[in-house]
Amino acid sequence: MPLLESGRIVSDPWQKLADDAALPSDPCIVSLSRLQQDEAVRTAPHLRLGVALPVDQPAEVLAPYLDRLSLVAVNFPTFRDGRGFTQARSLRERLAFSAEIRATGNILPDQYTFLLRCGITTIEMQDGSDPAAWQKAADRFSFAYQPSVLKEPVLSGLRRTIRLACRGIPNRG
Amino acid sequence: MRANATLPVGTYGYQPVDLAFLNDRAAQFCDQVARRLSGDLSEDEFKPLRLMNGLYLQLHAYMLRVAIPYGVLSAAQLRRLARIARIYDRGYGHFTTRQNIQFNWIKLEEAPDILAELAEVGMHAIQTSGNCIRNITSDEFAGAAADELVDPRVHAEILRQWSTLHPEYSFLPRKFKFAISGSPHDRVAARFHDIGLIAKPGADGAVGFEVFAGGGLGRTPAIGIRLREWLPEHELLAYMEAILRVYNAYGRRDNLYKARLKILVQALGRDAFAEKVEAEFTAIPKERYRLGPDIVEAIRARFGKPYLDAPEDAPAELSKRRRRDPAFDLWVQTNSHPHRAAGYISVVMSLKPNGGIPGDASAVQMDAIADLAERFSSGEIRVTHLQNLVLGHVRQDELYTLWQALGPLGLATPNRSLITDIVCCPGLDYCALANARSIPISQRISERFSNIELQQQIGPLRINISGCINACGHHHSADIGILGVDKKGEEFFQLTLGGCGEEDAAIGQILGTALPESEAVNVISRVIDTYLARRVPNERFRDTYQRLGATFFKEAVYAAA
Amino acid sequence: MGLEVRNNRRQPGRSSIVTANRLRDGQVVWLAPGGHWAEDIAVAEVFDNGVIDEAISGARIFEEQRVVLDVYGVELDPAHPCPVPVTERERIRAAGPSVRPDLGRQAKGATVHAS
Repeated sequence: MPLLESGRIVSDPWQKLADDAALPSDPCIVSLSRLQQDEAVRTAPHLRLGVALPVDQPAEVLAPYLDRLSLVAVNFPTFRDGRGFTQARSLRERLAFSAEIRATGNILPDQYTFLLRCGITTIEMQDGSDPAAWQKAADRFSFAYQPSVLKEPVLSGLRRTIRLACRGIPNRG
Repeated sequence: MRANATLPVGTYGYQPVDLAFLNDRAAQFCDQVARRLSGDLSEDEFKPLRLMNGLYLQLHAYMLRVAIPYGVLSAAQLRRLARIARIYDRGYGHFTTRQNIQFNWIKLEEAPDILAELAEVGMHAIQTSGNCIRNITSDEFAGAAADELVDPRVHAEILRQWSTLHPEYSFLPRKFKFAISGSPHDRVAARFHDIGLIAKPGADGAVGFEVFAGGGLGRTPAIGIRLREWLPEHELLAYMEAILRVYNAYGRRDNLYKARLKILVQALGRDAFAEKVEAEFTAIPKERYRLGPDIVEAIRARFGKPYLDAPEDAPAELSKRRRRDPAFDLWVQTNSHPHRAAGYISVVMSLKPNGGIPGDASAVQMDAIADLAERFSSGEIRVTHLQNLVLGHVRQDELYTLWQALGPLGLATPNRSLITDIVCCPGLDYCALANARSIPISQRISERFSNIELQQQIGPLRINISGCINACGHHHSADIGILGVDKKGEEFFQLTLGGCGEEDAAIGQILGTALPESEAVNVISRVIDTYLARRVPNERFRDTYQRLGATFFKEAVYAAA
Repeated sequence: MGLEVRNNRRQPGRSSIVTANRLRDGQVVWLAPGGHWAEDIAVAEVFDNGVIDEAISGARIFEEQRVVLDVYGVELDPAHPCPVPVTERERIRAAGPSVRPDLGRQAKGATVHAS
């Protein structure tokens, strides 16, 4: 599945690791239960580790493992299920997680700005998706009416200028 | 009286950047419609997007619900609604129990044009439907009422802005409704909302809020719990974030009918729910969400001030007119509300004429009201959640002239809060969700009790009618609630008694088994007869009901049935 | 009663017609012979309840073609020679609001009346 980052399709170094598969040397995303139960996974040296956070778990369950994780995948079983937004936001704001947060599952390009402003950095798109539709969505509004986890300068009042990497302005901070 | 300000009075004056936002939103929807028509978006994908622009597929056509934030319109905005009604619809609109307006005959392919026209006057349909934060409703006498402590509309606007296209809360388990009042007398039914806020002044002029959460009507009515007695203004947004975050994370996603906040509050229990909210609030970085007084003032500065300078003899002039014209006197008695400024008064323009469709207004009426608002009330019109309209700032010595203008327009029915001031959902005549018609019951009750002396004798009495258990008519919060039901293909109805939407909130109790719709007016009559026969002087209906008990009324109603 | 239950009336011996809303303008339409969608219920193609589900499935192609949305079946009242829905809801949907006889198909002299 194509991976969208900053408005462009990028190559994906990550693989999903089945619960019973042996540890590879490449970056791999494990299930939450494997992360919690398999010490070998947590202590494997030089292994870039990611976890797939189930949609019904609070981000706080990852607290003990965050400094071991280079990626958290939040899932959208349908695009109407907005729990992934809260998970991402909690990871950034409450848990100070600064590495990659990936959105997987069923997502509409129309949600792109919301995803990014909640701290999501990459999107796993469905095959055949057109990055142009996502870019168009990201370019639509020049400001938002509330703060987000991104560094967004105050425009005036409650308004924040939207700054997204896919619009050419770095947002990591 | 003649609005001097270039800023609209009572509602937020959109700045160019805000208008650009509305245009971007209209363009976004235009694009979404094009993608739907081309097949890029399936109906399943498109539906939540169109709902978030207020567009429903209803019984006869698409229905568009336009936002009237905290129920306030400028004359220019009301004229635009009249134009929308004329050009794109069938010459009328329906004012709802959430202070919005609905147009029932909309074409999808014209909706983007409508949104563009609305954007020109600072209006929109953003988040008037869908599983997101809906219109923030408020007090129809905000900024005018003598008993008001804080004008809640500035904070209503702050909440509107904050909740608009919120990145985290646009895909909630279900809809989310706010109400905010600035008076200890709760005219907004705060305790029947997902979040209800009562704004009040604290020490040294600070503003704070009493916070209720988890209330609602619908299929499972519930009275909200009080989370905070005093939330300081600067923490308002942070605390709202905490509540919404708990809801978004823990609200049910598996069952549409169990997904509201009230269900979560009941499932967790009030203490556990409050703990979760406080824990979230503690963890929220306060500086990021701080609502500083500078921001509040910047937004307050965008609200124009009403013209409030009456001649000293204004009250005397009003009294004189009242003495000379009994019909005018009657209307002032029922339909006016005391104003905080000397020589001024607020008035309710009833949209419940005898035998009429509650809450409907024609384009002709809308244009006329816009003119009257400019002439008599600083260009400001309010929509009440009881489906009437209000002019908030009328000079007392000009009230008679206003009344004379309202009569020919059918807007001077002297029935505010009386038995024929019925709240009624569109029902099976318009709504795809309904089980029964609601409007004809309302019309027949209105006709049966049309006699003004009888209405006065009965006194204030709230009747609300819903055409299905989704309860958009808010029947649970009425003295007499009527719920239309379908029994084997026939229209029946169920009565609830003793509800109240004010600060002594109460959920009406089901009286007994459903009765045939043809009996509705006779049944209501028996309830009223019982009340009149047994009440002690000045006793409100719900107090008589409490005192005598449900069984007493049940026997009176069903014995003769 | 949910919409699904209401729209699944299939009394043996009775007939039904197929309805939907036109995508572009939301107009209530009825499937007429030849596979076109008419605004007038009087010309709807009548199906025996034994075959109505097949007719509904067949008509879903029009959802895919983005002509209509929400295709479903409406059972008819056998007491009438022309198509009159058995439920009040569908009669109102066909005719217009019962409280506004000046609006909807009923204003154009439709055969079905809302009240």
